[in-house]
Amino acid sequence: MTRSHPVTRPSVAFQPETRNHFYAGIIAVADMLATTLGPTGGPVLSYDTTRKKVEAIDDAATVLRRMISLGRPDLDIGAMLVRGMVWQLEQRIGDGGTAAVLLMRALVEEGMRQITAGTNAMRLVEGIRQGAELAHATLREQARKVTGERGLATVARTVMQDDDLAAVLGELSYLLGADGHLQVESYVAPYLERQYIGGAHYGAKIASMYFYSEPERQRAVISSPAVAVLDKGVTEAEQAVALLEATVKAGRKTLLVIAPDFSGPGLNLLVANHAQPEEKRKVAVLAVTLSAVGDERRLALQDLALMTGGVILGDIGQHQARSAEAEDLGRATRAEFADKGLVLTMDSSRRAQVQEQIAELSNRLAGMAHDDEDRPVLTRRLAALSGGIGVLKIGAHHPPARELRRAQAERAWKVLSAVQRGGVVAGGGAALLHCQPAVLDAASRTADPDIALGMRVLAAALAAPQRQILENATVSAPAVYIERLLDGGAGAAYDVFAGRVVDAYDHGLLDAADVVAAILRSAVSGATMTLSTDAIVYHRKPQQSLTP
Amino acid sequence: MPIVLSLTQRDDALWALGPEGLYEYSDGELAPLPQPDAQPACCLSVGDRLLVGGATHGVAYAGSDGAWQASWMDGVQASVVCMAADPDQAHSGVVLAGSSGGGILRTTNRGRHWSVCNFGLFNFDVLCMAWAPIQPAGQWPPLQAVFAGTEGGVYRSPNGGRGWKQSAGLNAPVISLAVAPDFHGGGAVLAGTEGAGLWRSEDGGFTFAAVPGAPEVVNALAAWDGGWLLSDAEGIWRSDDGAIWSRLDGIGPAFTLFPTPDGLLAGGMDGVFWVDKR
Repeated sequence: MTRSHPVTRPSVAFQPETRNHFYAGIIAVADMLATTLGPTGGPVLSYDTTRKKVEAIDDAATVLRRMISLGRPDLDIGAMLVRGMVWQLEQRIGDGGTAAVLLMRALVEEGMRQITAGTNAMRLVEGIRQGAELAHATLREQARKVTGERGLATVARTVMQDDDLAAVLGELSYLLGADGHLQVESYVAPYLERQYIGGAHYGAKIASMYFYSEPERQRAVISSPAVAVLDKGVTEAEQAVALLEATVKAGRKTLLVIAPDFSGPGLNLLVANHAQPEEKRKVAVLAVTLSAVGDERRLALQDLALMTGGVILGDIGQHQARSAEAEDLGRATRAEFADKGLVLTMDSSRRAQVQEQIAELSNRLAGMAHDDEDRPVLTRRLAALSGGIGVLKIGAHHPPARELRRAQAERAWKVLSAVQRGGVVAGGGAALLHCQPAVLDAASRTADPDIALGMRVLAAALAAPQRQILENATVSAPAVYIERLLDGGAGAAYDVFAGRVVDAYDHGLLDAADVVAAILRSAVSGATMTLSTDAIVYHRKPQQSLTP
Repeated sequence: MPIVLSLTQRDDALWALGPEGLYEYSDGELAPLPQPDAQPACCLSVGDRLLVGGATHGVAYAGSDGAWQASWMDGVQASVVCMAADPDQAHSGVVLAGSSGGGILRTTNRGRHWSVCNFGLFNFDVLCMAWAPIQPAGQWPPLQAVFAGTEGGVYRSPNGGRGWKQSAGLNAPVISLAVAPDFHGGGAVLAGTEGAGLWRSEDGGFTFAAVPGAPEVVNALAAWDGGWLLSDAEGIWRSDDGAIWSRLDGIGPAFTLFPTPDGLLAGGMDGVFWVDKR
């Protein structure tokens, strides 16, 4: 295989240099990452010249994030293609970067050999694409659903070598579901802690300390409240009177008022009413202002109105607060204010309406780019509507260990979400290998020889991640084990520590089917681009991206 | 004899509770005790404390001096209708309480302070609860399974009641629950309903399926003596495997079944009675 030579800038490279340039960069990165694959793979050491510090990194995305150039334009073209692909995988599903790079290397290597031997590049690429579609369908057939916390924890354990963290993540994933919102925080104590905040949680400020039902804890709780959602402030006494009267007419004894601000006679009247002795008071009040501003607040008010079954009083809605009626108010099971947050527990009678909104928002989230700035807002809305968030507090004995644990947790969380959506397949590269027979079978039935060859190139490359894991585990004859895995069927995987082929589902050697599918898709996309590109333009001052 | 809805035991002492009050059970007799609530619904002994759940005070507890104190109930005013103690409560101090409309409360100090633990719960009318036995050492991941029967089916918690998820298959009101002693080795969970029969889970409580041929009304359930007992409105039934049931002759119905080291105690319309091993 021809290796790349340095190029001068500006210049234009044509075939066969184009492919050689791509290939040289891909090889440079893939050779480095290959050693990290599997449980026996070692870390990559990265030397930070600014801080004079050596860092041990064991995941492809972080390794490549530390690298913005290989120092030669001809190497950069392939290396940066790989870097972009791995980072997208990391953002989307949190895992699989190294496997994707190795699969891509195998595809490019064999594809180049065939093109050099005279195969039509475009027909070959088409064959690879068709083979990938078939492999993708085979992966979906292999996938099995995982529902319980035990299965989810087992998958989390394959992403990290930390049993405690994997167990907690499995439990969180089971209870929060595929679209659940997990807040990962650093914890000063050297252990893990998790917390479940039930109900719709909103950052908020209490309108007056007089509304605290437990002033010493700075906490207010009201049960079965009527809920008034306003998009304008409560400033006039008439507004407060109308809201209190509507609450009494609605047959409720407690009122939650959510408004942008409270001041003047409106606030005074609410406080004076609330401060009456309990036996005289007809309505206990909790008045809060949401912390969100702008569009996020508008959407939060809409969601609150939906959850409580009330209307928004003010400019958005049809009624003003001063003319509020009982039917304008919503209702909830419980409202609690503490720690700068409002937690509203929805009445179960509203669940059906809220489920429709959850389905719509989930669809919108699924179609949204992963770096879309609206994504966090949508995720928070979904968490509020679907009944709560989970908080994972990560502690360790040293700050670097804590940060490593935190990064692992965030990565594993994405994988667990993928598992809940798409199920699991045999881990350690075995699932890709098990797609091989279906692709070879299709190739044997394809009339176009170049397309059939493309399928065979893909079939051969599907073994690359599994072969690398065997090599990293210093298995003396990887080909023998690959044959045994194929003989074992779709559930067979290689247990590196036991040194034998086992049932992946019995031994917990599992990967998320969505992750493996994304690996396949990314690798094929990168490889087909490499194999089908005919010219590269090297600019004098190429634009460099520091993101990621 | 008064109606008995709930039974609890500490060492040699046994207490029975019903709508008419709290009693100490001794030598087949029920002796009335000072009661903390006008309408008590359930009682539970944890450590040196006796807890009583009822309509007006949430939960009240009495220590060794017998004086009753109201627990802090986290703003919940709903009536507490059932309680269940963590099998490891001697170390954890954890007890769960189910309320009628307020969901589930959890205490970590044997009943002094309760916090709402409704994460994942969508039905707040809780009718019964049951814990799985302590997980054998060496099993991974750690599991503290507990089940809650609600108006809308069974909820399962994998972490001692911190969060809940609805079990699939059963949507009827569940009024009784029982967990097999070998739960961690694949043992079953049974759920009894009021009119929709008996349901059984063989996958750790994730899904339930109806048990054909079982009574329609299952007021009480217990795992006992290597098998199961249930009570419908007519009498008590026994099964070795939870699938095939046969009526025990000459024994009246019960609202609660309470296994003790000496045998099984039952509480019903006519007070307390023992169920023989046969």
